[in-house]
Amino acid sequence: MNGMNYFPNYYSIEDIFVTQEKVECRVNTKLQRMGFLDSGAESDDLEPGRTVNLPLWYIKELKVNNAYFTVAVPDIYRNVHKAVCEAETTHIELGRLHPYFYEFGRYLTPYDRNHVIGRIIFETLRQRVRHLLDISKSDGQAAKAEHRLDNIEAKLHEAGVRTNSQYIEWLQMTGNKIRTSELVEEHQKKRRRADRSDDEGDALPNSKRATL
Amino acid sequence: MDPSIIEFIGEKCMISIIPNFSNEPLHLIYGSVGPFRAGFPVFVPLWMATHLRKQQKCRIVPPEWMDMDILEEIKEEEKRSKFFTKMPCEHYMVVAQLVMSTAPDDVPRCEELRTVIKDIFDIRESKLRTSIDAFIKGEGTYAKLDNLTLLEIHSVRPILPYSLDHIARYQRTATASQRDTSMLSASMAASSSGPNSNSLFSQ
Repeated sequence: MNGMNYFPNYYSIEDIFVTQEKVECRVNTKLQRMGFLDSGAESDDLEPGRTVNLPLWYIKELKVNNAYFTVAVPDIYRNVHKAVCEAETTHIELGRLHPYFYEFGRYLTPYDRNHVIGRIIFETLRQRVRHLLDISKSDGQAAKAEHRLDNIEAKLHEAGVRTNSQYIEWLQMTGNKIRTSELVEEHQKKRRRADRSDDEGDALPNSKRATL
Repeated sequence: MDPSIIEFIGEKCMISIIPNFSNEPLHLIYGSVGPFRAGFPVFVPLWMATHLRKQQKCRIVPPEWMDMDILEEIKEEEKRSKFFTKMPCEHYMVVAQLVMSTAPDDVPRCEELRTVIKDIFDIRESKLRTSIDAFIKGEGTYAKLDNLTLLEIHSVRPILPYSLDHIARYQRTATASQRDTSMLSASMAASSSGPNSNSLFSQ
């Protein structure tokens, strides 16, 4: 339930997933003994001009215009995909582009000189919310392909589907049946088993006595 | 908010019944319910009415608005108007659902009434969604809707505020980064120092 009201904290799992994503960075200055960051490096030091893939949590702690790395904005927020996002907002499969499209874009916004990313994710989400509202009204199970929706949208969709099914249940008055709780059922089963074994236990000594 | 909670709130509506028993007035916490005399109508809350009906101790009198012509007129009004019209009872859907499930015989033309009420509900729901869509696309900061009932609000409840939250978050990051970079370029133009300019970046 809390997942939809998403204000990420240090421990939130989605946040950890998002910040684990690798971004490509170009090294700007020579970094001594940091060669281990680059898997294909020959020397112990990081030479300027090489590109390394670093996880986002590493990069986001540095200042945006720091002297060591230049972050390259991933392709999904640029050019072709940007045009597709604007043209076909509701049909594009954001989940296939990136499962955490919106959050990833949010972390990358300060690194983008042209202010493209911030605007794209904002506009895309705005257009797609209507579509989300519509499809959560319909039968949630059938049409939803796993890839079409980004993580945030999937949660919203799930909320909508749940609301809808609650409403339909109420209309048909099928919900709210009082059921026996699990503990009580287990206890009853145990008792039945105990009774049955007591009966069998009584039977055995009788038969033994008969043969003896 | 569950529909069952909305039903609980709606059950407080008063409805008139005709009991087949006689009793002294009942003094309940929120007020007294009048003396019951067999054959004479008395006003009771809806939960009590359904309870008595299930025990076959009364007959439910459908409220005045549960009439074919009145409902048809309301439906036409709803279709014509751009805004939401005032409904005869704040919880028309709950009342209709409960009355028609416990006492279908007491209500004349039950099936047709059920269809008309469902139609009204669907019309209002689609109007609600259109207005939400216009609100989101039009970049408004707030919207005001009159005469919505609880059950209609329930249909959009968790999903609408959460999606607006997300939209607002991305809007904030987008404008913040734009503002920061323009601040940075202004400060870099103003200062004559090298690449190490100290600017505050909020992420």
